[in-house]
Amino acid sequence: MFHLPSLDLGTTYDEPIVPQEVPGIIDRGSSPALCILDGAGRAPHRLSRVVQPVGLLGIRLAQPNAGVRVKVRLLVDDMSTAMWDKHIIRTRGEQPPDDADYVAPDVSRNHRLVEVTAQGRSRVVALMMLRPADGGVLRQNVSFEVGADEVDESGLLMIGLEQPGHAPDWATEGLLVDSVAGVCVARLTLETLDGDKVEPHVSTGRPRVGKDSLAPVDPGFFVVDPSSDSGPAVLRLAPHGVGAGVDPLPGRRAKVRHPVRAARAGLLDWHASARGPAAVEVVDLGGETVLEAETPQGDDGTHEVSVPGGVGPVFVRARKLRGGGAPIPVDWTVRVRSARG
Amino acid sequence: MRQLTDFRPFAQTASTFWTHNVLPAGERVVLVEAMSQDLRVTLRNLTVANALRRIEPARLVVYSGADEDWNQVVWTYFNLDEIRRMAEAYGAETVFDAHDLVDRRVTGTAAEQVVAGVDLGGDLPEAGITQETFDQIVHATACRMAKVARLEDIPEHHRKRAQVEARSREFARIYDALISRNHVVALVSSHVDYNNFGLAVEAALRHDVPVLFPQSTGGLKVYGLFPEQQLPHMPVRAGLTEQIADFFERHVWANRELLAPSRELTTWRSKGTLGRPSWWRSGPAVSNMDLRGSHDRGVIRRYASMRIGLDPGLPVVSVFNHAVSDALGTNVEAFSDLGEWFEETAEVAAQHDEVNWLFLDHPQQRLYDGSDFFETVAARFADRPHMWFMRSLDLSKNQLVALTDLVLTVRGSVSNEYPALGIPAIQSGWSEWSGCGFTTVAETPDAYREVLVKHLAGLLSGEVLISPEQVERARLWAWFYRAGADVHSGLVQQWQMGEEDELFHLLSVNMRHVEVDAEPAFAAVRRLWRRRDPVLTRIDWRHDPESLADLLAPRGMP
Repeated sequence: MFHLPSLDLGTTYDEPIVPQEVPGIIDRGSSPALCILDGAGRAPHRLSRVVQPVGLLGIRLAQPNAGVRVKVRLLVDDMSTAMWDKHIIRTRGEQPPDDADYVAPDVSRNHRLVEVTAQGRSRVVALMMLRPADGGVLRQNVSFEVGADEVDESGLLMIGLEQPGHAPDWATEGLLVDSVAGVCVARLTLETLDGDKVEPHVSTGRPRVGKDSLAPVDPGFFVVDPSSDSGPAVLRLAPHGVGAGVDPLPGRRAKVRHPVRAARAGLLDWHASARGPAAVEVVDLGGETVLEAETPQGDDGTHEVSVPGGVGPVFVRARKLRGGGAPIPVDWTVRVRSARG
Repeated sequence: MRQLTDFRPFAQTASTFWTHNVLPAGERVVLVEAMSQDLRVTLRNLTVANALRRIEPARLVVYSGADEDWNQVVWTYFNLDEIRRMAEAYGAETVFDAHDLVDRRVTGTAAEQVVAGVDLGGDLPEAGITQETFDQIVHATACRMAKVARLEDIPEHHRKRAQVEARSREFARIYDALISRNHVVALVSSHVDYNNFGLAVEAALRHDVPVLFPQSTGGLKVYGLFPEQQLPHMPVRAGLTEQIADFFERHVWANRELLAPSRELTTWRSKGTLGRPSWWRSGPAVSNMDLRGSHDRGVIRRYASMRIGLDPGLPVVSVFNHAVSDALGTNVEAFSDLGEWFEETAEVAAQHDEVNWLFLDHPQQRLYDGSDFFETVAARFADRPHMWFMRSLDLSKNQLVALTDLVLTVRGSVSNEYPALGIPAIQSGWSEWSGCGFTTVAETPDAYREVLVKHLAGLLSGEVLISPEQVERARLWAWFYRAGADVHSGLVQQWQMGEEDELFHLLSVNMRHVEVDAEPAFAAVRRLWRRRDPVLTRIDWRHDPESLADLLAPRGMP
């Protein structure tokens, strides 16, 4: 690292930083351990909101050399949509309208991809898609570990949020431009490394129901984030509602459908109910295809896919193969576990 | 959209106020420019003019207007009626549309138009401006209107230059006539560049008329251009640079111990985008600077380097491109234009791959360049892996500070911001602060290349290229610019108040309910005028240190 001997960045007015003890939770922008905010603003009742295509949060840790498990709660809501839209308006060189005249666009069919980095290294990706049925807010939790050797004596933990640069075409269809703008970091939970390890987990843009996640036809893919040991993972995919022991989603998402949507859903169910293999593609953050395979359907109606270890977060697209025709997108119920069992 | 519902109540209040707060008009004239669409600019000009009319009885003559070029290239909502009403409320005897008059003179359709006793529509002699100065102003105006770094030998640019030249000749005639045939006390102008502003300033200085030059920022910031302080055969701002340097040395640097807490506070506020942020960078999320030391800087540097793809182990030279058609040639510069400096710097960079080079475009370039200048230069050096061309706003201030080990600019404010953080800067031209001793200033292309190469060697050998004293000077200049030379007045209000109902309500309250004695704008303008100071100041610097402490009330000094 180049050192500039004349550097003099401090002033006598710099307020003291109170390093964050681990374990601990940071859920306010006013936290004295939150010492660097870049491309992001402090949020009064949450931690931060990203206002640029890239956001950085620097947290000073009290024990620099111990390593830390980080749990990040991300959130998108109507304010995220408005902030994103105003960012886009500004990048066009225009001024956003006054609040009284402002009408937020409908982005309920668009998704966001949030790559979370720590110390400049990619850790996890969250897929987020706020739909009208979400009651105005969608939360996603992601976890990763930062090793003891990754934080220097300054104790500065630098969390970054940005959009993955090399997502496959099928993951960018409907992706918001600069999709990290507006995303809220609601909370950071910091834990010591001696507890439970981080297991692989999936991010589908939908809230999880128990151990399962619904990966709907729209946007038609999901993300698998690695375990703390970066080991291989096993995906269990079930056409939604078939064989996986998953009941139809409860609550507000189970409301009566419009006739046209009901017919479309019926067609999807018909595709999903057909027995046959699934075509699965797995692509890493560098845009390299890690796996491209047909997986047979088991007796219980599910498909199992092994994701190799050491590849970091991956994008997964699974489609149903029926009668030798083109692959058909269906809703999936997804469960992931470490290949170690 | 600007919210200005009813201007009349303010105009009535202002009219009553100024009637009783200036001396009765005599034969002499204060000439005021009102050619900006932003009422805050005209408000500053008129307030300064009337502050002067408290001590120098004079009539107020206001020239205004905008032509098709300005309306297409610069303005979006220019409203002459609004400006006229404001000027009349401030006591203007005459408000005339100089652009319209010039257009009619160019087409030979001007009718009689008597302003301050001079028929500006009739036959007027050629102005006495030197050909060299005239050509420089025409060139700068044509470049700005064409939105190019320099004019090319193409029909479009020939046409533009001819059009600007014809208009400039008439501007020069009417300004010369107005000034030479009247006893003009002073000219007040928000700009000194381009034909519509600059030719009036040139005529005034040539006829021994001082120019007061309010700035479009802060509270009330004004520079004083006095004819006897002009440097012969030098651009109009050159004398100002020397005068400011002298003032800084005698008053600010001499009182550095007293100013130490203020200097630090301004630096801290500057890091947090408080006070006067760079107008061209948007909100705090990309302009705040949170770094406190080399550890912080190292972490962000590693991150930013990874994003860009450069080696964080090598020094990084950041080249801050200018808005390439902005006010060309109004101060001493090493190169013939801002674009040439940028291109020449890129040529030097191409030969020096022992360091990283970051070429950053001006955030508001689209307002000043329609020729893809930056992209063209970038394409020329696309095969050089040690040179990166980026949009400035693609890097936050944290990342820029973390990466930058040497700043290159002609006259940009980065040459104050970065030295205040211990990062050296080379200027290839003069600016308001270039004589204050915290940057390296090169005045010829050869000198520029020489100091640049020396600095590269110094970076690689670990040499300290900016001393602690220079850092202190840079921080003191930041304080002086933002505080010492920024007068807060109830008759102007801070720039950030905007130009809507709220501003005019506040101005009305001040005019109606506050007695004007010791009003800072009046006191400061009187002081500048009587002492021929180069800059308006918040306090009287002739006091002894004890009295200065009473005026400044620094924290921690009983």
